[in-house]
Amino acid sequence: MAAATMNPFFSQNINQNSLVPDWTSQEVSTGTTIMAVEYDGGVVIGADSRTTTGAYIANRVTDKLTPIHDRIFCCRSGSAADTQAIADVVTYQLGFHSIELDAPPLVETAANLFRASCYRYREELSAGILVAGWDQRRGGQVYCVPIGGMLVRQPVSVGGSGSSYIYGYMDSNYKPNMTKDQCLELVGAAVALAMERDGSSGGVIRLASISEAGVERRVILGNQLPKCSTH
Amino acid sequence: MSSIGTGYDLSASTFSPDGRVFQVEYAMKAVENSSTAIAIRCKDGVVFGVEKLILSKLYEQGSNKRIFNIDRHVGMAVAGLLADARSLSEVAREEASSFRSSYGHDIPLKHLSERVAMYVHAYTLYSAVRPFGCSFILGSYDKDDGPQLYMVDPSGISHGYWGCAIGKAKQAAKTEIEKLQMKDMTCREVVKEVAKIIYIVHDEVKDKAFELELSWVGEVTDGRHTLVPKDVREEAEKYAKDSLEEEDDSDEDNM
Repeated sequence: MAAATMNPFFSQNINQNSLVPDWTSQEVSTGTTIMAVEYDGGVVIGADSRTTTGAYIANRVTDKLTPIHDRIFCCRSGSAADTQAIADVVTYQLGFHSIELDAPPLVETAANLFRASCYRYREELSAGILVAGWDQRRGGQVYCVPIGGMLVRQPVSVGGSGSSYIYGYMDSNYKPNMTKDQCLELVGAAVALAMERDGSSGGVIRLASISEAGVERRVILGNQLPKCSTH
Repeated sequence: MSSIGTGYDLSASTFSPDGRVFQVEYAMKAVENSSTAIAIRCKDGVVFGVEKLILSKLYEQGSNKRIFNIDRHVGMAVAGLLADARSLSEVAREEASSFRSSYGHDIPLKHLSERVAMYVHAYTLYSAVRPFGCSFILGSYDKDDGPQLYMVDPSGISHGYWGCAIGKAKQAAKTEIEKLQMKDMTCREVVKEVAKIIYIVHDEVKDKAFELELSWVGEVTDGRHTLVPKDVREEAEKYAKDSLEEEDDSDEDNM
């Protein structure tokens, strides 16, 4: 996902003969592969850990799984600054809303707040977000808020530049009513495959599972990545 | 019970020496001059009943409604100055609508009643405005929270209830409501009791004709607040009239 072509505010002429490297003039992007899956009783989310400025990897151990509330997370892809700023705003709004209501917030509410910001400022932003979590009313839910500010609930969703390479894998390997462990395996394998093929995704795989009991986070390090068979 | 607040009752921004804001208390008296409205929360919904006094034979039937729809799943019954109540129903509608727009789901009734109560309270703080002269009862039903019932008075307080009454016969109505085991009753059973209570508390001598306005929201209406259908209302009114006659008869027997 080339930040230069996507965002007219930040693009510079890349071919200009310059005394400084390209990446000093390029926006920081979470190139990314992100994924979220619903299961009965919760959700599993996963992401890679690479943040790039052009071809330079600014952070190889990024945490793209950001908590918004106790049982609600978001997976961020696109511009790192934009997604961090939106996540901060939504965290504030949702926290306030939850205190007013004196009840844990709904995942649908969080998703709507993301959608409101992403749609209103769609011309200035470059943010593709997956909102996933658990609430009392509807259990585990995944909502997709891609660039442009659409909102749709899906049982499984992938995002980021690396997602293009794993739609086929997801379509053929996702089955409804999987267990938590099956979901963790699916997300781990899918993100690993994307990291193999997408230059903007890499590093470690961060996973989290969210349910009524709480949030469990884990990391799959480079030497423990699921092995793919072709090479 | 009432005391004259001479000198300390001219504006809502003045306390009396014994710590009362008389304008707010006078606003509550305005509610007590109005005819009665009651609401009961039962196992699977909420039923509203209003004793709508007919001041003129020329009125079109069904005009001057005292029960409003605030949102699909929320109803509001009012007592007091009707014009004030209508303006507050608009406020409640805006709140419910803007909540759905911002957060994507139906407003929880507790939150709605707190927001409208906050608005009512704001009008008790300044001398430039007068407090609202109406109390109102909000009721809703949804699958997750079940039936909910809240009442807001002119001072800007809201409380949750299983059954409440406002207006001139509220004490008598409350006594009747307390006799019911509403937690175990369904809407269809409660609608008859509501009609009966309105008929009981209606004062035949002072106020002549009245129209009974009945509405409900619950599982029976699939979560939508609507006026009770004609056949259910007629059955409820018949039950109410028959119960009154029975009581009259039993009085005679005791002689």
